[in-house]
Amino acid sequence: MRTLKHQVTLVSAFCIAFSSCDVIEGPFIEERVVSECSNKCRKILLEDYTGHMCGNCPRAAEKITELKNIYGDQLVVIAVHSGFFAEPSGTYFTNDFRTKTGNEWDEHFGNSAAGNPNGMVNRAGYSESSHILQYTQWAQKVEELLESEPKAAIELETNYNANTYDLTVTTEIEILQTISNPLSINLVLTESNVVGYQKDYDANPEKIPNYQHSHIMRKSLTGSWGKDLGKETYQNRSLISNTFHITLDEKWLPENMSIVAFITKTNTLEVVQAQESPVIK
Amino acid sequence: MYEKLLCAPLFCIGSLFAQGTESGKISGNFQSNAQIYYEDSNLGIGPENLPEEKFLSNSFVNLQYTSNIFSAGMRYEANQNSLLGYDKRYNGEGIAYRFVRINRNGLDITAGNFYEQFGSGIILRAYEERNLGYDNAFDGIRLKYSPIEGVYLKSLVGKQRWYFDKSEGIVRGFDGEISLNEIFKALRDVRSQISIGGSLVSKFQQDLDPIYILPKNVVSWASRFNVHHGKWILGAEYVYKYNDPSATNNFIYKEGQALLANISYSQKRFGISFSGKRVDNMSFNSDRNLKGQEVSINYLPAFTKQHTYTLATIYPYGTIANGEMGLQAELSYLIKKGSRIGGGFGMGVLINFSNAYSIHQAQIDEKTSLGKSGTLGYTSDFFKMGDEKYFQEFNIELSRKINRKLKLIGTYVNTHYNSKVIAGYDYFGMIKANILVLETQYKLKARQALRTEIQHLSTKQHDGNWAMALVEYTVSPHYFFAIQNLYNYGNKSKKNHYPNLSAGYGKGTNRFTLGYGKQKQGIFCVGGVCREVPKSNGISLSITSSF
Repeated sequence: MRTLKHQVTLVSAFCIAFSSCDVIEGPFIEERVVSECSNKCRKILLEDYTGHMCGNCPRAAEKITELKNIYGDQLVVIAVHSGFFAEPSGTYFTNDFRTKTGNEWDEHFGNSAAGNPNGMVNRAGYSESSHILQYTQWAQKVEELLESEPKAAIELETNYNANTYDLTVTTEIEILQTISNPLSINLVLTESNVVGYQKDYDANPEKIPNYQHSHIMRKSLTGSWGKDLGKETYQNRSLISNTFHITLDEKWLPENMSIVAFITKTNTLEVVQAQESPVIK
Repeated sequence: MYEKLLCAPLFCIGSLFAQGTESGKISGNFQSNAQIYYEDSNLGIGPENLPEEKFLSNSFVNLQYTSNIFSAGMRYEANQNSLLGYDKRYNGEGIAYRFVRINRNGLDITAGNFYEQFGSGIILRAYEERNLGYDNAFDGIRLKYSPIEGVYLKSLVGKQRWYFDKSEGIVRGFDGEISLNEIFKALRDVRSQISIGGSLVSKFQQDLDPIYILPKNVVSWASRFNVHHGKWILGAEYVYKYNDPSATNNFIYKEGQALLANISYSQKRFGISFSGKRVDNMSFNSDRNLKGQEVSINYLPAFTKQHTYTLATIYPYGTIANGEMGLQAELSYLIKKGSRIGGGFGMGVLINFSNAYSIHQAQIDEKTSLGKSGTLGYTSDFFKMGDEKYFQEFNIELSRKINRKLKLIGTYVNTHYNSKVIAGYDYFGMIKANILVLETQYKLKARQALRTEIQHLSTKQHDGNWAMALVEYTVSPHYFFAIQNLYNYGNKSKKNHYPNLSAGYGKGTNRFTLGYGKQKQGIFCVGGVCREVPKSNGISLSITSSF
């Protein structure tokens, strides 16, 4: 009988031990104060893999707006239209926002195969196959990555000729902590406020004709995997300058366009630092 | 990452136990499924749609050492790379499952990986379904103990598998079941067998979200009973979950509830059962940020008939964890042999009906839209159904042996399938389909049998009508040959054929199957859990072995 009593006590103690439950009465949303980002602060790259036929993708776009409201310039976004949902389809979904680079990234990282919408935050976790994150995971990853100090800073200088559509971009990278990896610089053009069809499962009707697409990747200036900066190790305070040229497509609106630059570790493709600048300042 | 070197010492311990105390045995099995993929212009599979590797394979080997008080096991998996339709995050190789288990003086201890189920599983179920590419095994510690006869206790703590990694959350669980007939002497000879049970499951996950104030510990509890009385069985389980904002419920803070109940009666040649369920906000994941069922702590059954005929599996139901109400009724009857309808061998009749609807939902106040993130989401009347039909199916199966050589099985299925809610198909709305199947089984000689299937699916929606024919010739126990074709003749855009040829050879516990053919795009579900299957064309090889 005594043994039984002991056992009952043990079981009860066990139940109580992990029955602790956090019941949130409200408020449910945190009051966040966005602090101004200094010139050389860490900036995070968010790649949103999306498509105009993807009915759940507007939820990811809403999440990006939410995060941009919190993190401002510290979050740099590229919307990569790729995979089945990005294909032109039927009478309405005639836009083709896909790019060669976007398709190659998608094939390489396996995003659309894992089901849109999803994305990568600094391509973190790529070496362990945990790089593909659902949009609900982005906030946590951004928060986590922003806790570390920046290893490099990027300055962007753009010079756009409206007559010839030529754009010149000068990048100046300052290494802020010694990095013992080969590095590459990647530059892509993005365009926002592009109106077109988008499917949205939460809308009625689902086909939205005047959806505003944001951060659409238009073209890469450095190929799919960037331009290698040529060294194995980068010492603290070293400076690296590069200049890139591109002629913009006549259909693009330069006033809605940005140049996104990001440094990757050449071997692992992990993003070290990102930066964004409007094409026309 | 899973530890990839743990198993060698694990088996050494096993053999020490074996040498020191008693002899044990080693058992296991091996399976490899491989496919070579080809382009197919008819199916729209161009070079850009083909996997870069062209050849993909999923393989595993299970090994287990068992003695009276000790067992240990492991599973090595090699997906190089995963077959199309399986998540690419399964690509890779390594020991994905390993455990040691010691059972002494009634205390059963498992350390490492384990599968587990509390009650019906609506509060906790870890299981593997290889055809789905689904595995949410725990990695941790599990104890099972029976302090007195009729009282069965289980407790566990662990993290769940997430591809080759682990889910973020820590799951703690306790379950107790009491058999009243075993405990109380006065009830031992009573005809009614009564058992009651209760579970408590809690998960812990850090709140790193910058937007929401999230509960780090989420508790769920369940209670259940089961009564067997002669030919009757009655059972029910209720589960309650405290606030658990997650990606699946769009980060609402409403509580979750589910109720499953069933009653059945069976006697010689006749059986009938009814089951009902109500599920409200009961997705319970060990990582709140992951949508879907990859790291589900609980399992919400579909309560629909699990079909095996190809065309009857085109529109399978997948459980809607955010909310559904449904019921299932099944009647089986064997018409007496010697009667006019029953003939010389009797005739089996199986009738099944199931449905699922949305649950009632109302706004929490005038300003807040239904299901809005960062609010209580909605209110719901427990006994009120919603307006939207998700699924309905009626099916009847008649089976009759005509003579000693020939058996016929006829099946009719009528399905209403809410394609938007279940599969995310747009345009098609409620797909209504009628399916007819005639299966014949014919014994040619002592060891030779011929089986045929003729199937037809008619629908005005989605891909339109389908027809299918299959012929399978078996020379037992070693060989089989099969040829089949699916023809989507009702498709308005492209009328495709999906032919398949396969042959198998088995000897002892080894089995080899080689096939060539086309696979249609679709959704494959087991028990309400589903995965998408892409279209493909290629040669497949499957090898299984057990020892």
